[in-house]
Amino acid sequence: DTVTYPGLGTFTDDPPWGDTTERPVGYLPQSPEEVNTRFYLDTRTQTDVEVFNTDMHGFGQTTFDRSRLTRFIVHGYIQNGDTLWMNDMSSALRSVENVNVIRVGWFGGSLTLNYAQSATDTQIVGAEIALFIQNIADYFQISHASFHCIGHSLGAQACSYLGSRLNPKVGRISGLDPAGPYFEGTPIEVRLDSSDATFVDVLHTDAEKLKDFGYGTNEISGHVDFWPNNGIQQPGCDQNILSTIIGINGVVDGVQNFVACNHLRALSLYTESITTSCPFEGNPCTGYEDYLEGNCVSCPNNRCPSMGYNSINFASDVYQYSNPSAYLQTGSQAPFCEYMTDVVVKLGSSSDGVEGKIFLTLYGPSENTAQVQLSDLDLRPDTTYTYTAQYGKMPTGFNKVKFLWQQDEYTLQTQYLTVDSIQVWVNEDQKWYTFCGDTSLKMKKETRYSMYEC
Amino acid sequence: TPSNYGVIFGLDDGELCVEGDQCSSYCCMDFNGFNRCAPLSIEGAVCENDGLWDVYDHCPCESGLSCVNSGSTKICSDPNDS
Repeated sequence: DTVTYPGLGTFTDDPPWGDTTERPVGYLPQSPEEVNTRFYLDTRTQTDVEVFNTDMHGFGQTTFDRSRLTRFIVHGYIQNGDTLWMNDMSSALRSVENVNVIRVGWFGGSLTLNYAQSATDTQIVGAEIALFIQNIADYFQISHASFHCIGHSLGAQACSYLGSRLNPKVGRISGLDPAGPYFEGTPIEVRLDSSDATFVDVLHTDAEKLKDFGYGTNEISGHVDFWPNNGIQQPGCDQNILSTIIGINGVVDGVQNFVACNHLRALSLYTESITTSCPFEGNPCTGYEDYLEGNCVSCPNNRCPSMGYNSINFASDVYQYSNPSAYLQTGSQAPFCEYMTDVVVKLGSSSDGVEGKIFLTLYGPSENTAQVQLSDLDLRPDTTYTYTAQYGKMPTGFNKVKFLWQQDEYTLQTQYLTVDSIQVWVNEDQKWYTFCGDTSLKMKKETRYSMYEC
Repeated sequence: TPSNYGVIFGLDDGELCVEGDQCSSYCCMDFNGFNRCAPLSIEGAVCENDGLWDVYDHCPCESGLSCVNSGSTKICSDPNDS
């Protein structure tokens, strides 16, 4: 059957909205009063001013600046009231640009214990945001293109309803781990997809199936879909219980983190992407295994799309992609952004065969990285090994590497390696750097040997 | 992992620790009141030498480096640097 809410339209629980394999139980959305969608305006001059989508006169008195972009931030189901991350994201946005930020709270809908009801209520939230955008655009005579909806989990699905309600479309939608259950496998009018805005960028961090505690969708949902760490097990989320409950900044944030660490990681990544100078590059690729094997190091026309806030700078590249998926790895703690390299090590013919691990440190004239383990292997003479390696930073003026190896087995005689060459692909520069040293030099274990650009 | 590896031992950076042997880096560092596993110090960074319980204000150095005096502090330097 259906329900009509004045100003927002008519809603139904007939298929595909309910009674389908993806939505086994159909619900009509609650009333706007029950969903209780609230809007809070932040600008550089004034923050946390409640505004109403039907009071444009009042809105006209606020510090809203019609010449600036407007970004809505919409929370999801898991938040149960804690929306601290929205304030953090809002202040990060305002720190890098003069922008109108409207945080959207919908506690009436998102706090219900019935996830399926909350999933349906996202239609009301989306309708309220669309109404607000339409009213602002009419009142100030500005285009829909200047509006951006950033949604987490169910919030991303709420943003998706702007697609069918606003013509022309809004400029951008960013889906942060868009909710999976009740959306995965549904038609595009029900869920987020690339037709919902001029540019739709998506981050997947918890895309496991629900039975494996995956709250996020594993479906392509945008013009570009980023899959950090393959979009599932985020590093640092498998910490032992005690470490996670006592979070870095106190108990409360720790408990929150434990419940849905993977699902919430999309928030930390997106917020970090706003202020970091680290490019957060994703490499378009057929799959994560191919990415790890270094098969996708060169990006289309040598431009790797940035994940998060800056991804819109790659819109024209992304629109040409046949496959919108891009992959990257991140760290286990903030700052999460890492610099991807591909390293090719050619061991010399007079190298001993050993069981051990290779380590590489990158140097510039005035700085150096941490020593990164490439991976453990049987290290055979006259053999070339290729590794994908992540560094916390890239030294400016990168011109030297130091090679070190550790032995995993005990041998009576001292073992030595020799190295013919080392090549490092720096993803950001999209080019190879080659390093050579004395190829006859016998390198003993746990000792650093410098090799210079040749 | 069924064993307590990864719960009490072989801990990653950031996990809570009582002493260094629990950490895969063997460095348990004090972060304003809570001890957490931390990465070893890189070349040029401030360091401390190996302690008994491996709980430090500054981690020991990465492999191939030694923690040497530098003015009033100690930093990691490469003995193999010519």
